Amino acid sequence: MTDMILEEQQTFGKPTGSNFARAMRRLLRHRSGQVGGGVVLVLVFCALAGESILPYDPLSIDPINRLKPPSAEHFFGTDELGRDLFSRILYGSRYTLMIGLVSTVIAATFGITMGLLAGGGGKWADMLIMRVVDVLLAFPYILLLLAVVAILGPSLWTAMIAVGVGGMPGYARLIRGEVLAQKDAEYVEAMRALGASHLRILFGTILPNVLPQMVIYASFTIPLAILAAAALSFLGLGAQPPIPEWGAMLVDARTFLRTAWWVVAAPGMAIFVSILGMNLFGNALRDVLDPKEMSK
Amino acid sequence: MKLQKLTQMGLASAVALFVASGANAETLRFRLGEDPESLYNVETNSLTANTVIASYLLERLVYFDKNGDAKPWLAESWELNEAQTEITFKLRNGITFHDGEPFNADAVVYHFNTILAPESASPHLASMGPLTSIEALDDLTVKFTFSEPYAPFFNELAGATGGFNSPKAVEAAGSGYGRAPVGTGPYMIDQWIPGTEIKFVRNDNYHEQFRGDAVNKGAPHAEEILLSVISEDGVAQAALEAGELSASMLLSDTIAQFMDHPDFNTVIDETATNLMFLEFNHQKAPFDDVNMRKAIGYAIDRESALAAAWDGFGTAALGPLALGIPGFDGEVAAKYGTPYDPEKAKAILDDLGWVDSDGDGIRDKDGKPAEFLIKGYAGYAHSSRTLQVIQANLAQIGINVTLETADWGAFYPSLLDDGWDMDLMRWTARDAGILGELFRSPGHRQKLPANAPLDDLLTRCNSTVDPAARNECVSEAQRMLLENVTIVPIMSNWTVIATQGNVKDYTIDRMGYLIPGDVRIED
Repeated sequence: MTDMILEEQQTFGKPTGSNFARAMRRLLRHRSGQVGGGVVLVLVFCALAGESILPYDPLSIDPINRLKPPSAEHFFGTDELGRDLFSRILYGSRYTLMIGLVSTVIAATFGITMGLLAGGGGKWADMLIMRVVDVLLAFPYILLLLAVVAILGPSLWTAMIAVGVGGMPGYARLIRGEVLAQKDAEYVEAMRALGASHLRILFGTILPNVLPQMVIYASFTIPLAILAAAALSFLGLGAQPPIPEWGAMLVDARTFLRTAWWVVAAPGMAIFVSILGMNLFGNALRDVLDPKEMSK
Repeated sequence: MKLQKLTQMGLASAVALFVASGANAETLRFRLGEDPESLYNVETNSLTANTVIASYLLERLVYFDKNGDAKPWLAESWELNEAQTEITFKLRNGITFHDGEPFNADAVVYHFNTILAPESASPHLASMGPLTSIEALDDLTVKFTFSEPYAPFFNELAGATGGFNSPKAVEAAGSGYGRAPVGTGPYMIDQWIPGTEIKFVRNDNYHEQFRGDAVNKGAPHAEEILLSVISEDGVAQAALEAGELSASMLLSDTIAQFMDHPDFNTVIDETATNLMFLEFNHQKAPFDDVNMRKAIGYAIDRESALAAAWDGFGTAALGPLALGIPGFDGEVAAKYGTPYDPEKAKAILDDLGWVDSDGDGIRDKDGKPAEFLIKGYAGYAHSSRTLQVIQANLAQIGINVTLETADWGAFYPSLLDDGWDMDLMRWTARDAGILGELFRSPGHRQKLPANAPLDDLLTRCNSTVDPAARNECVSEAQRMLLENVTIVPIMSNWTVIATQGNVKDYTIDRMGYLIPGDVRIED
C-alpha cells in the first residue's frame, strides 16, 4: 500500500509518460474498466473477425431444424427459421457496433460544431442555434426518431441517421457550456494575444481541451444509441430482414417467449451484456479522465 | 312412438342441462386483440368490431352454412326476380330487439338506408355495389333493388354489415350509439370499460335460434360473456394457463403446446379465407414478362415457408383464391399453378437469357445482375419470416433480392410508386368478388396492364347471381389469373383457438364468427 502511494508521488514529481499513457495505466487498474473494457474488446473482436469465426452461416435458413434448444451443436439454439443463434449474435455484433459508432459520430460532429459556434460565435449565433437545439429537445426522443425515419424511409442507415440527429442537441448543449466556461481562460487569452483567429481559437484551442468531456459523454451515448436503434428495429423501422441486428431479432422472437425462451434470451442478453459493458467502460473513462485524477 | 320418447328424453336432458348451467352463473371469458373503436356496424369496418358485433349482438337475414350456401336466419325465405335485380325477403314474425322494439321491415329499410346515406360516410357504402333502393312492402316483407345483378351482396347480408340495430335506439343515442349497440342477438351489452373489457349479459327474452348450424336453439348457456382486451399473444397464453380466459385465438407459434395438453382443447379452423401471395410490378422489366413471373412461381418452396412462418398451421396455395372462399377450384389450381420446382425455374431463366456469366452466383442479363426489391409489411412476424424463406428460395435459383419492410401506412401506399419489383401481400375475404377488387386492371395498386378478357370475366363473375354459374365463372377467372401469373399464391393460414378443457361446443361458423349460444362449460 505504502509502496503504491510512494510510486504515485514519484510520478507526480517527474512525469514519465504522456497524459494518454497515464490514463491508460489507470484504466487498466480500474475494476469496472477491466470488466467493461473486456466486454468492449470481445465485441470489437467479433465485429472485426468476420465470418471466419462463425460456426454456421448466420443467414442460411433450415426450417426442419427450427427452434432447437441450446446444445453442443448450436450453443445458443436455433431461431424460428432454423438459423444458428450463436452465429447470428456474433455476426450481429458488427451492426450493433456500427450503429453505436456511426450514429454517435453523426451526433458528435454536428452537435460539437453547433455547440462551438453557439458558445463562441456571438449573441445572435448563440440565440439561433440554441433555439434549434431547444426545438429538437422539445420533441420526445422516440417521436423525433420516428419523424426522421418517416422522412427518409426505413433502413439500417436511416435508423443510424435518426439516432444521430436525436443525439445532436445533447452534444451541442454540453459543448456550449464548456466553451462559455473556457472562453476567458488564460490559455485562450494567450492565443488571442498571439493574434489567432476566432475560428482557430474555437476549433484549435478550445476544442482539444474539452475533448475528454466529449469522450466521456460519447461513452454513455453509444449504448443509448444502440438501445434506440434496437427500439427502431423493434418497431420494424430499422434493420431489414434477414440482417441479424439484435433489436430486430428480439422483435421476431417475442412470440416464442413461453415456448422457446432461448430465441428471446440470446439477443436480449447480448444487448444487456454489451450495454452493461459499455456503461462500465464509460464509468471507468470518466474516473480516469477526471482532471483531478489526471493531475495526481 | 319410440322416436317421440327419445325426443322427449332429449328435451328433458336439455332442460336439465340448462337448469344446471343457469344455477352456477357461468361467465365465459374471451380475448379481444384490441379495443374496438365502435360497435355500430354502419360506422366501423374493423375486423375486431365486426367479430364482436356479428358474434354476440346483431343478427342477420341469412347465414352461410358449412358448405358456403346462404340459409335463412331472420328471414324466412327470399326470392329473386327474373332479371336478378330484385331480392324480396320475407321476415320472421315476433322477433324483438334488446330494447323491446319489434324487428320488422322498417328496421331493415332503416339500416340499409343509413348505410346508403352519404352523410353517414359509411365504410360499407362501396360494398353495397349497385344497390339502389330498399322498400318495405308490408310489415314483414322487404325488397332490395339493384341497377344490375350483384352476387357479392349475400356475403354482405351474412356478415357484420348486415346485422340489424334497433332504429329507435340508434336515433335516441345519436353519436354515442357505437358504445351502446342494441340488436336482436343472444347477448346484450352491459358494460364497456374502454381499453380493458366489454361485458355482455344473456338476452333472457331471446327468441328461438333459427340458425340450422347452431346446436342450442334456446337462450344461450352462459349468463355472461366478458371480453378482455389483450393485445400480446404471450399474455393471452399466460391468461389461458392461469384459467383467466375460457378461450383465446392465438398465433400458430403458441398453439402447439395446448394441443396435447389434457387441460385444454384446441379448435383449428382450416377453411381459410386468407391468402398470402407475391405480387409483381407488372409495369417494370423484367416482371412485365409472364415467363419471368412463372420462374419465380416455380422457385417458391411453399411447404418450407409454411413450416417456418406458420409452424405448419396452414395450407400451401397454388390458386389465386383462398380455399375457404366459395368458388375456390382446387383442380384449376393444381393444373395451372406453379408448384415448387427449382430446376424448372432455372430452365426458364436460362431460356430468358438470365445466366450467371461472371460466376458470382447471381444471374445477369445484358450486364444487369438479377437483383430485385421485395417490399413487405413489417408488423406481422409471419410475413417477414415468409419473406426470408422467399429470399432464400430465390437465392437458390441465382436471384438476389433485398427485402424492405415497413408498417402498413408506409408500405401499402408506397406500392403506388415505381421503386419496387415484387411485394408480399395478404388479404382476407369471404367472397370471390375479391378477385375483381384486386386484379381487375389497373388492379388495387395501379400496376396491372389492361387485359380485356380477364377484366370482362371478373366483371361478369360479380353480376352472376346464380351460385353454380358464378362458381363456373370464378373457376375460369382463377385459370386466367394463373395462366397470366398475375400473382404467385403462397399459402393460407388456419385460425387456431385454444379453450379450457371444460369449454364445449366452441364453434366458429363459415364467416369466422363464434356461435356463442352453443358454448357451455361442462362441470
